[in-house]
Amino acid sequence: MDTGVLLHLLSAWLFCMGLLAICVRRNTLVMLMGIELMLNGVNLSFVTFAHELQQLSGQLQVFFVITIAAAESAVGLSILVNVYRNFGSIKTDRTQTLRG
Amino acid sequence: MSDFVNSNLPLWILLLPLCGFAFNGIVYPLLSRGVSKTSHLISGGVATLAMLASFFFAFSGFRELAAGSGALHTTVYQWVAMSDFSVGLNLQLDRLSSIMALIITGIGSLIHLYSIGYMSHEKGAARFFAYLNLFCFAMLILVLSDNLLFVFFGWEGVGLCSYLLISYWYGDAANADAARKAFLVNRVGDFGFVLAMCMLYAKFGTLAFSQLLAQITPEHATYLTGVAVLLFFAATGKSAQFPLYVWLPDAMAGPTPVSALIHAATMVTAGVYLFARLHFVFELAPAVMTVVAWVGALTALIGGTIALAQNDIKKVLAYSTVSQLGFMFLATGVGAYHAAVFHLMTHAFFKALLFLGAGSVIHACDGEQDMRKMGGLRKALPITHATMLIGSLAIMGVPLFSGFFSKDEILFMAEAMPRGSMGLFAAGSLAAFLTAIYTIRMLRMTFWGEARSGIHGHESPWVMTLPLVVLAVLATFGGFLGVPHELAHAVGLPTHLLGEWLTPVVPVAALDLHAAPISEGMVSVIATALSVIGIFLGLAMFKKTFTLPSAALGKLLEGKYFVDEIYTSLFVRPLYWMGDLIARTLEGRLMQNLGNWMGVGSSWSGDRLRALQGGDLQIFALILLAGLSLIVAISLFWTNV
Repeated sequence: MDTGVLLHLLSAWLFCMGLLAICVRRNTLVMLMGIELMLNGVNLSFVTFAHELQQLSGQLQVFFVITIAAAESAVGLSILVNVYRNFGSIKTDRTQTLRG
Repeated sequence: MSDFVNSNLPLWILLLPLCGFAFNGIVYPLLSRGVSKTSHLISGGVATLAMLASFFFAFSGFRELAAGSGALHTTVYQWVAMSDFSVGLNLQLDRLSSIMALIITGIGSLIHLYSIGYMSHEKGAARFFAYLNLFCFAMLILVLSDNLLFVFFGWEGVGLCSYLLISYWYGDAANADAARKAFLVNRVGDFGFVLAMCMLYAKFGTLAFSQLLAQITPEHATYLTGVAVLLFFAATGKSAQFPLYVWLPDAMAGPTPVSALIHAATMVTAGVYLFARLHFVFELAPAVMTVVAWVGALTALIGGTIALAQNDIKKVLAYSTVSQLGFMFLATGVGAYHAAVFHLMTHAFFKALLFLGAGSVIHACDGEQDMRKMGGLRKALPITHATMLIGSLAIMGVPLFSGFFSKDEILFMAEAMPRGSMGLFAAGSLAAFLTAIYTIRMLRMTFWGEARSGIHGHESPWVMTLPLVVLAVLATFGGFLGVPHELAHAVGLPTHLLGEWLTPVVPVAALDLHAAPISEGMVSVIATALSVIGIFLGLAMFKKTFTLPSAALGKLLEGKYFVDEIYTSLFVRPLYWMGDLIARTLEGRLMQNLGNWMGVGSSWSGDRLRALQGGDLQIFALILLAGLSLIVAISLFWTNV
């Protein structure tokens, strides 16, 4: 198996792990980390493709993703701080107010 | 003769009544804060001036045509423009439409002037004058349009205004009913108009008269028979012919000037105009035209007989109008379009005069319309009496009055034209004979003899008598536009001025005057003799009593042959019954339950779907994931297939 395929598999693995973390963990902090993991999986995929296709645009895209990921975690963490102040917890099963 | 001159004149003729409508319908009520505070002097004055100016433009258009141009043409607005079909508001003032426009605007202005006096006791006369101006606008579109679609627009427009004006006093349920009846009966006929337009468009791809004229050849005769039948059906509705004449007598519920303008002089003659305009279609369907002639003759007889036994002065005139329209249809049916238009014109003069005279009588008697309560009004209403006498002499066909010339021409054509027959001539003569009798009866009941009740009329103001006098002059001398050949040669007058004028637009079959079964002069003698006998018979019959000698016949005629009752049981009752049935089953059961089921269904499914909206982030994420997977799966599937 050559490096390209391995790298693709790794990026898919990272993405799926992130998704899994979001779907199963109740801790919102860990969910945020899952999102970061997914974004980095995608980044890896971008870089790999850029390398394979010999095109810079893939690597360029990664910078955008990193920037947005930074902004997203800043916003997400500040929301978490407010959620903690309001509910006294950041577990998703404690922060439900809708009556389904 | 076929040269088209671009000119704005037709547009001006149209626009002025529209401006009058805008003023009386919108601007003036806004200025005076409410339509009920409007003054009849201001609104009537503006409306009359608008019509007078329109008449002035119509007259200058007429002079331009007389100077030699074939038709004045204006493109106002291109409504539909597709690659193979275009239709728009294109106006065309040719010789036929200029005659119609002169009648509409000329008699229209007189009637507007008259209405100022007639509506003087009315609050909110602006509404009345707005409708009246709108009617003139629609009627002018009808006669000025160069394509069938906008003729239909005008056709519907006059129908609408007729509805609005019949129910002008809508506070009375009977008036509203009469208006609805007029509207619905007309709708039956309009259905034929729409279908005829569809058929013409399907075959020829155009609705413009000039293009239809260029494309239609005798090969299309079979196809055009259907079109002719449908158009005839439309005309029976608008022009109150058998079997759709029942709305016209009821339409007398409107104010009398309305009856004069719409239900005698202009709107009801739209059918005759349509025949003259589309003569090239109808001439290819001779069988249909024979039916038209017989329907006209039948209508003339029905109207003439019913008028014998009516006691309401306006009802007499209404049935008389039905009868005279029958004459016009008789003329178009045999192909004598000139005679029909000629009678249309003279009828517009004398019937408008008679209606306005009746209005003057009603005005003088404070709204009383029953002739049995009148009598002896000659002294109180000298001008009205004199002018109505002239109008009556004209309608009875007394020699040298206008009706004499036009009616004789129709009677002559009824037997002389190729499609004519002695039967049509006999029916027409009988109807003319009846005309004399019922007109004398009306005069005798209203003006002559002794007063039968406490009604003491007073002569109307000059705004009402002036139109009467002008119309009386027209009704007297209007006939000299169509002097028959023999008489003209004898006294050296020009023959058939109107016919000559119309020939370039509406050509008629050449007629060998000497081959006719009864010569022109002989017809005049017979018709005159019949009307004189009718007059004396009427004078003798209605000396003491105003009912017919035979009680059973009187009852039948007073009940209008019970046609309304027959229609009620044949059409109205079954429709009510069907409506009830549908209301109970379809509406009551199905539609109502459908609504309920929809409500129950959405609240049930809402209950089930609510469980998803628990506010749990993880579930949202899972749904998102599922949706995303679905989209990816679908897109993958489609790219592979």
